[in-house]
Amino acid sequence: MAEGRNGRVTTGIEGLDEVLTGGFVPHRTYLIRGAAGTGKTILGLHFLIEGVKNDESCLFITFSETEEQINQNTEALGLDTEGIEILDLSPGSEKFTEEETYDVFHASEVEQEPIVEEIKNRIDGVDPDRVFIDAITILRHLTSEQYQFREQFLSLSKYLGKQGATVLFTSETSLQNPDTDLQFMADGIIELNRSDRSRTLTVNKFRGSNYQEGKHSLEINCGGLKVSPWLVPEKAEEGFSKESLASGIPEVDEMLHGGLETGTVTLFTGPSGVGKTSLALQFAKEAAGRGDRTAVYNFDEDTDLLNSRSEAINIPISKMVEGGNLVINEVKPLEFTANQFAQRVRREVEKEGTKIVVLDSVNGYDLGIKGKQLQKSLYNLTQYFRAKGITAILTNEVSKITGEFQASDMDITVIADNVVFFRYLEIEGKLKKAIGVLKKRVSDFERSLREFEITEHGLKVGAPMEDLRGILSGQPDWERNSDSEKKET
Amino acid sequence: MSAKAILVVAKHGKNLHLLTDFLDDQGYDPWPASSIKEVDKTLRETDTLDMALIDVTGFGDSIWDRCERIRKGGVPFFIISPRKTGKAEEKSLSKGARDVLTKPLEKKRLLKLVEIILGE
Repeated sequence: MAEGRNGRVTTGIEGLDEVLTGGFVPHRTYLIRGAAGTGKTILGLHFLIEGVKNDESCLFITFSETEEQINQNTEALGLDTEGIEILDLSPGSEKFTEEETYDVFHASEVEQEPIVEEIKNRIDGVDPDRVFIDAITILRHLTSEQYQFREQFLSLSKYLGKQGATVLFTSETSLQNPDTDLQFMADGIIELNRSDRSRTLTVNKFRGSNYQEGKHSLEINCGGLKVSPWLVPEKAEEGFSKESLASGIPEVDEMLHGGLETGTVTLFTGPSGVGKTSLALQFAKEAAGRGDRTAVYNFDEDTDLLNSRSEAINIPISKMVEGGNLVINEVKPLEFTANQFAQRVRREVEKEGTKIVVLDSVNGYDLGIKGKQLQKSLYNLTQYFRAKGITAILTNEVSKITGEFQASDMDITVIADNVVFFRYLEIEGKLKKAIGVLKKRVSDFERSLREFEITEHGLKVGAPMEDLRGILSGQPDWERNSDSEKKET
Repeated sequence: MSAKAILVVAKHGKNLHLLTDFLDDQGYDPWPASSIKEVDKTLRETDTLDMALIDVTGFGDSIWDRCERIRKGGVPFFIISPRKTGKAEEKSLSKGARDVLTKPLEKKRLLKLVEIILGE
């Protein structure tokens, strides 16, 4: 048998081998559970097709669908059953003709022996490396006693184990017919679930190996199944040096005492239109100039609009995109689950060598990602960035335009190493923008605010507003004004 | 000693086939009949029947006449019925059946019964 990583039997499903730390343990028996339509049969088919690819002999024992239905369904998914031996024990149409039905004896007394015999004969003939049985629970209806079913199942799986086969089988369960016995007997359990908004895969048991826990996302589309593992925060990788990513705007870099360090997560927070995305793109522009690749995940805006908006303020992102140092990914609402998104980001980092990731915005992420796991999934994602030495910028929109200062509406400042905040100020009757640093974990930072302007020549940042008082209230006063007023009175 | 002859009556083909096969496997000599005509033919052709198993499902009243004839011939018989109702039982017993067996039959139990009736 061809073997995968760690001598494992590969599953043939993108992402699942990773969840199972390489694949199934050879010669073991695995239960695939799930309600109707969750993808159990497709999972088994992938497993067999993978075997055929590795020149292994593969046997599909079907109790549910007929061989013809299986071929039709796999074809519809763009898969091919060629090379798979199919033992069709489904109640085919001929069973429903009057000639084939009977009631004089119980089915268990008539069918049981021939079926078990037929299975064993076929196993002997095929000598399979991989076997998929769909669904083993049908055998239960052909045995009159529970213990008989259990004995049959155990003897069958032992028989298969002796032949050196790795076995996957599915169960069809209901409240009246639970499959608890099968769960105990199986070496591993993979559970498939489907809700209105998403599909998930969970490993509930995996004897003789560790595995990735958690609800992993599952997709079924043309090409079959795909698993996006729940991103597990890893230990930090050695070997990347702590460098600072400068913005290219001297005043901003001064405020940050150099820039944003690699392996840190920075939150740009502030009200709508204040310049969060623009500053993030400014960082991307500077990184691109140094030859570092930046990936922007854009949840809020149309890419064309983002392009034209950036060009208008002298941040030529289309040039950077052409140069290959910037990639803008527009994420459509409800396109991904948190896991699927995390896997996309991961590919970008690990395959494309991206160094800077911009997530614009956290609010868009919260609204657009399927499932409700904002804090946990963002936490995992940011831990991943730290482990990989990625400089991450997350923008976050606060609802208040002016008034008392609030870092974020969403209680997410905790996941950030650095918080840069933007706000509108009313100074002498004019609306101005200001930028400041609220926290920075790795280095010291400037504690005063500076005026921030978005102009056609680019972003402009003024000198520290050291004479202002009450900045965080949104309506600050000039210190010297109040002094001179006092002198005048 | 030759195998004991058992008349097996069932309208339904697969049921008849399964019963016949089972008795044959156990070393008996089953005589299958799926219609009244075939029952009559068997009764005409053999006078050495040892026993009869009669699934009444799908037969009209005419099957009861044949039951009486079998009883008169001194051949013990069992009625096989889809349900055990008082009415079916009463009718069967009044026509001379030893008992009413309800489907599905248990092979082990059926064999035991046949063995007892045939005095084995």
